[in-house]
Amino acid sequence: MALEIELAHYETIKPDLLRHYEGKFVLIVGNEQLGVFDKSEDAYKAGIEQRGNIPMLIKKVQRDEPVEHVPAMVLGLINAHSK
Amino acid sequence: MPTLNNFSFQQVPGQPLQPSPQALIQNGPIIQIQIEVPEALAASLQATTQPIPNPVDGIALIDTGATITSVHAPILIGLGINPVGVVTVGTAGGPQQQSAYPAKFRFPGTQLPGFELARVIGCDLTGQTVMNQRPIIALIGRDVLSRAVLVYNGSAGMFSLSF
Repeated sequence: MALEIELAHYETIKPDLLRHYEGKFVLIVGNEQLGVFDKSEDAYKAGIEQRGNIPMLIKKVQRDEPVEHVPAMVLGLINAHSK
Repeated sequence: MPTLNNFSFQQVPGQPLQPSPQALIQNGPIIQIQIEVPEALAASLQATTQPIPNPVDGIALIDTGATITSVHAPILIGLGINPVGVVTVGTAGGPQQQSAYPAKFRFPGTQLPGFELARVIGCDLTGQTVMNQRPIIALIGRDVLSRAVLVYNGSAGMFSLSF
């Protein structure tokens, strides 16, 4: 799965992020936190400007991770895809 | 608020073309869609004199059962869009983490305004077609519908969508 390093880094800094930035969007590339933003779009723009078009983690800082539901996937009518 | 009134037609021999509840059953609420790179990526490519990939045209099916919009992953990858996160999705095999991508949508031939989504799921829509094998390239979920008015008039063979 893509972004394994970034996700692992997020987990290590999540407690601190929750204390200070709950509800905002953190931008992480590799093991580096590049910023915290009010909007996901702003985080993406900053990531593109700072590092170019590379995989990056833009994650909303929240205690519980939501689960998305796409019934067509649950029923196997379409397949999930991970890069 | 721009509105798309979309009729599903059925050709009955000897009769004029007319909206058909049966055709809407068969096709579902579908719209023409164009998927392109996010503006930030387009601007970056332009600034570095790299070509901006051409938008990809296809059909989107409005899926009121989906919490999040999905796009055929090869299209996102072909546009050169890199993942920006992961999303936990319920699948036939249980919850799985899937790559999420930003994307920009337009609706050619309609008055509906285009918009960007910070994240869509990359999925495999291979083989999903409607209306003479036209490929479905996106499933529009309730994240998009949260900013819209959708009226499904099955008995009239039409639906309306406003953003």
